[in-house]
Amino acid sequence: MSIDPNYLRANQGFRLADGGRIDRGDPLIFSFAGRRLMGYRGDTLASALLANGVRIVGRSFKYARPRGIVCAGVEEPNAILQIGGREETQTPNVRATEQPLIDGMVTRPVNGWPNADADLMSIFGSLGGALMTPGFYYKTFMFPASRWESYEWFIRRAAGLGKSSKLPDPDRYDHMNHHVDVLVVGAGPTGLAAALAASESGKRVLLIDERSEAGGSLLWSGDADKYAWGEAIDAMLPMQWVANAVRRLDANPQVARLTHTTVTGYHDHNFLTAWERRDDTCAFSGSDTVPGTRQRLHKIRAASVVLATGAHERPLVFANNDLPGCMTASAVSEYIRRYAVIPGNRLVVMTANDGGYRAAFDWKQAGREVVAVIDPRHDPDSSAIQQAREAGITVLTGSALVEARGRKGVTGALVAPINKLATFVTGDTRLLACDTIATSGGWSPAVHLSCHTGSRPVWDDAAIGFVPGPTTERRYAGGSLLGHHALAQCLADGTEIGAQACSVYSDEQREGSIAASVPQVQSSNTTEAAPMALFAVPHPKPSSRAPKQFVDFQNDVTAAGIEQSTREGFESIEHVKRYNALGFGTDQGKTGNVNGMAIVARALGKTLPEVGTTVFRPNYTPVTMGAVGGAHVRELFDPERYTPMHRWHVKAGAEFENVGQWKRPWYYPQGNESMSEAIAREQLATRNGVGILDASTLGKIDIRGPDAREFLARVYTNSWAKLAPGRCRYGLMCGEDGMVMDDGVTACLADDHFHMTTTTGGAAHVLSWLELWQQTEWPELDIFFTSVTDQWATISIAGPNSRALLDELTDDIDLSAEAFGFMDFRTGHVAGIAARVFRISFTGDLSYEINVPAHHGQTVWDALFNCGERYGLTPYGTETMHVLRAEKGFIIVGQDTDGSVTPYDLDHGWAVAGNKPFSFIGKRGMQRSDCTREERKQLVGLKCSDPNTVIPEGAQAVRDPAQPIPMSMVGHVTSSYYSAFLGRSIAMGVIKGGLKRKGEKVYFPLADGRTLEATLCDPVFLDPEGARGKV
Amino acid sequence: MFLIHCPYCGEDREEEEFHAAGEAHIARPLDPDACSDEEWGNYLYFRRNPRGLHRELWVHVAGCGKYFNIARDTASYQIHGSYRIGERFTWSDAEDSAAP
Amino acid sequence: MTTTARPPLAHNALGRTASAENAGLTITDHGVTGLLVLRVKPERVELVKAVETVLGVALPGALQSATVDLAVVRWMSPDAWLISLEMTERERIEAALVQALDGHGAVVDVSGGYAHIELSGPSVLEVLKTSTAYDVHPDNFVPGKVVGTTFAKATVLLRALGGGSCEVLVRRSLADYVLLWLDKATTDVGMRYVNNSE
Repeated sequence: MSIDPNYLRANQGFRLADGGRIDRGDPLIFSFAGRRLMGYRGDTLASALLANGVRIVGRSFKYARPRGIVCAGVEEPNAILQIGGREETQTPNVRATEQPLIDGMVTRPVNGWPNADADLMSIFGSLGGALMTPGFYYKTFMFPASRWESYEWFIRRAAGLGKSSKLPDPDRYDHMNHHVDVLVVGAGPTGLAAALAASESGKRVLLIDERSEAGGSLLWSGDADKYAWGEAIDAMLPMQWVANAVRRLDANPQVARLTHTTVTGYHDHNFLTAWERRDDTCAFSGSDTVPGTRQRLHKIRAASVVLATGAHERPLVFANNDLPGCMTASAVSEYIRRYAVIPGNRLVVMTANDGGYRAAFDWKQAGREVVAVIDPRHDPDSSAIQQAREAGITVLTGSALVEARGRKGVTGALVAPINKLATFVTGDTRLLACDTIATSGGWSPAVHLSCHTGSRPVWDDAAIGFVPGPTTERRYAGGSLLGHHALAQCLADGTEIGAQACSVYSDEQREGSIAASVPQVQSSNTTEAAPMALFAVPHPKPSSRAPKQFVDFQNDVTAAGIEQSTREGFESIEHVKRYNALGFGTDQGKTGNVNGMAIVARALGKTLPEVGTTVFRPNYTPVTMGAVGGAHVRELFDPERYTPMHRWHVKAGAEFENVGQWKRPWYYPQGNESMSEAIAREQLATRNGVGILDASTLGKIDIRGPDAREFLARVYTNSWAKLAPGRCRYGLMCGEDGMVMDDGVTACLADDHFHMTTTTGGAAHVLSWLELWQQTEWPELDIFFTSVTDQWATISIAGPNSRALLDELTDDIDLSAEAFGFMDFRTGHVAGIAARVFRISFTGDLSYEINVPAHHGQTVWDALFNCGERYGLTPYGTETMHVLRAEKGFIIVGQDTDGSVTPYDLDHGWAVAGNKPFSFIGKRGMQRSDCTREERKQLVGLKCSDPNTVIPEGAQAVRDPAQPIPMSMVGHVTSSYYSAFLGRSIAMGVIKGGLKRKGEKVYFPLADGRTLEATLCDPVFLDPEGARGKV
Repeated sequence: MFLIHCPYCGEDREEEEFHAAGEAHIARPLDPDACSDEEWGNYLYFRRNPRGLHRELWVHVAGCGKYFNIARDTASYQIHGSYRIGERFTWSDAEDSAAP
Repeated sequence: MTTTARPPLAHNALGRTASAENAGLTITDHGVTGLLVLRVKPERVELVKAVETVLGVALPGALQSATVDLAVVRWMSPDAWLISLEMTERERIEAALVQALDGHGAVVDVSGGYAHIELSGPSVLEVLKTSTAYDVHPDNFVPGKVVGTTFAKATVLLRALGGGSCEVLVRRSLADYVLLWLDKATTDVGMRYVNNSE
């Protein structure tokens, strides 16, 4: 579908003929709620919508009232849109005021059902509005609990704050780490001055700003000659000074600058996170060009942090202040000056400070009508007010705009005289026809980041706002963040804290040097009248009967609601906040929080500092999950560790099992084999011929030193004094609590040299554990541990043919039973590779574990297969390994144990040497009374009465299946398999007093209604005399 | 995210290179077998968990692999010092009265 | 019987390989390098002297490395050094070091346990900054400096080389993960893989 661009261009009825920091030669076409619209490069989505006369951008959360754009920056509560060119790139809750316009962008309101202009919910809102009091959802949807699911559907549908795609996100995100001397947050006048001062030092400086270009409030500054309220810096237009500053910073190789990047979190020890929108073009427009990194999360460690985060203008609270057309005064100025967009035709300004007059000047300069400026102050005098009167603008002092009129937008403003304290209306109201209302209640310093590390902001009467509180971090603040709104003061602040932050000057030098480098400001605004601390404007009616006065637009929190909650007994600001959901929206109450606190203070007869503030937590603005995840997604979500033979397993068609980060072959299905068929085949081949298992994932630790033997005796439960070189021993490792922690076989290579193996999952922990004891308790022991897990490929061959197979590949190891017995260890060559061979068995059959350097692992593996065919060599995976070991009653730590099992509970008392001279780790623990009591859960075998039924692992055992629910549980199944070799199911489990109850029956009532019966037995199901392994 | 000084590497490093290993200076009883159940239970399970000054054992797992101690304020999260195993660390006298 | 040693980075077929001119990052894979972990307590001065005689260089202090004809010696820990050398020298030097240590300390062959790669090209700094939280700014990460740190979610030993290049030693089992990470991290700048092990 082609649309005439000239038509779209002309459609921008609210675009001024000239001016603005936009590129009229680069038109961008986008859609909003299905309508095609045009804007220009340099626009935000919000400025483009306003240029096209779009007033309603969504419906409110609770009352479904039409809402329009209020602000021009990050604090915007209403204009949060759903953006995305395709289903998979849908992004909810994007602030239109911050989002640069993109060609082809597809946008729509996040709520409004079926659409924002004709919202069915508004009927509910207008009829039920009076009933929807604070805590409405808590009170109404409380009972009966069984209905909650349907309530929730209704509430979510009605509330509707955007929707996320359920498809995988196709875009790329990443993280970047920075280490800087000075991080400057905010590139307005204060931040730029600070960055300039800090950059003089030659130290590393990073300057970050959330807007698409530097300048902050200067982006909509005026030319001193051309406009009232104009300013110049060092005899330059403000934006010329900005451009100059940016050039100087960019020319400095030690300075980095990020734009369109929001510092969202300020964490301990000056660690900050910043969210950069690099390229949302593809995601938001649906174009199919190859995208770069869409968004990036920066992780910044800074020696010093300069906060120059500025302030957010507070809209005043008055009746119907949420009507589209009500905006903050600075937003009106920013749209006119920065984007050449005028939000309406007839303006009424209501301001409690001189700053609000700027909106009137800018509006008039743009050639539209300023109906009046309403000023609650009685007889204020300042250059702004004089200039307004000189310009022929009607200024009504001692008055207030008490109510906006209109249905889907502002059509009039109700104005009335008020008393000096602005607490009540003193005369008759009159109606001024207008379509736009600009208000300023003052500025709330953006203290959010300063709070993140636990510092509470403090009230400043001069600033009429909260300013950053004390901190232990090396943090500096200046400019509007401290309530210093005058440009000259901001530049002076910035220069000083920038220099302080990098310690450029000594104390003696500081005064003069800093003063000399502060940029000089020329301003037409020479005298200022004191601002008034006005938050909520009085109305002829009490707020409970007046039209709604909104405090938090995003959550529809009203002045009347806050007052009611104080009457209901909520007095702590933390409680009021939660009860009303004040500041709970995606904007986190940037515009509403202070107004809300002021209303609480008024209702409770307290001062604002007495009411206190709530603490802001990270993040300052919502961050996409994509940016949080960065590149750590999909196959990079968690590292995959591969053994040296991994590729062989892949080619052999193995299914893999995750064991920690390792990918281990689980089983090797052949043809159309099912898993159980494959397991049965692998098992029988191993028991009857020879099987091969990749055991390289076992943890391996090289232990060397004169005290190695002593050390082993302290960390293992059994004795190591007499283990001769060339021999191996199984060991159990316990925690100090006496509970089994790990197990494995350790070989004695030499008197002072051992090769320890650990479980696959326990390797890292065991090494840390050994180091812990050696470093902190027994540093006198002369011993070193080195991880060799990755150094050795470990190949286990098991089964009656394993000796004959290995014999084909070694000339220098005598494999005879006499020369190389069970639990012996030998070095030699296998397939020509120097190898350590252990004759140990995790299957009960004759078995060898061949260790070769990892880079030779595949060579030896291949060599085994080259001559393996006549022995029936069959690869098996972890599942078959489990069946084989379970037939022998061999435990797996972490499966048959859970951190509450002692060696005695496992009936492994044979592996505990109680008579060792040193009280080994775990010895005292396992002697505590609880560890020695009767009826502990003990490991036993379980034979299901139906040999074809495999009891589910985790099934709970009871002694009497007829007892009423809840039944007394006496243990559970830890390992359970079908053994093809034994032709029946086998299981192990921990059962209370199990060791003394062999032969008794237990029952397993299952979720599916079946109850299985099993007999407690010895866990060794196969070859209890151990003949198979000792051949 | 803490910035932790490793006394062995001699540098400040990011927290992700370290693991916390609990309260520092928990000495293993010299004769465990002579301990009562209560004494052993105290050694095993009971820790000070103060609000304020605290000594902690950390290990530089991604770096040099060494265990060391830090003296940290659990309220402000300020780290006042890092020191090697076997070394002592003292705050000012008044502050240190809270320490063991 | 002849055998071929398999380098650690054998598994992944790379998605793209840029030409030399277009690659922001070049990965040079040194394949299997002779690697020995040397453990000795620094206070055992006589043992330290003896191993220094074998190596022909003083054991470097914290975060330092020393390069001689025979080997590169990297500090890992106050009592651990990682020595890389030609595979043909590995057995001889291992035996000499064991003898020098006289039953104390340890020498462990880990030649098979690591992937040994080198990153070079104009994008090294940016790639490192996306991969490790260590301060890799050239003011801090000066040539010869060795740090054990995190790299994506793996643990590595990094050594700064001249000209902005960087050596990465990563455990063998994680080598493919690191390679895949680098592959994704260079989507915008291009990556070239050079196998230097033949």
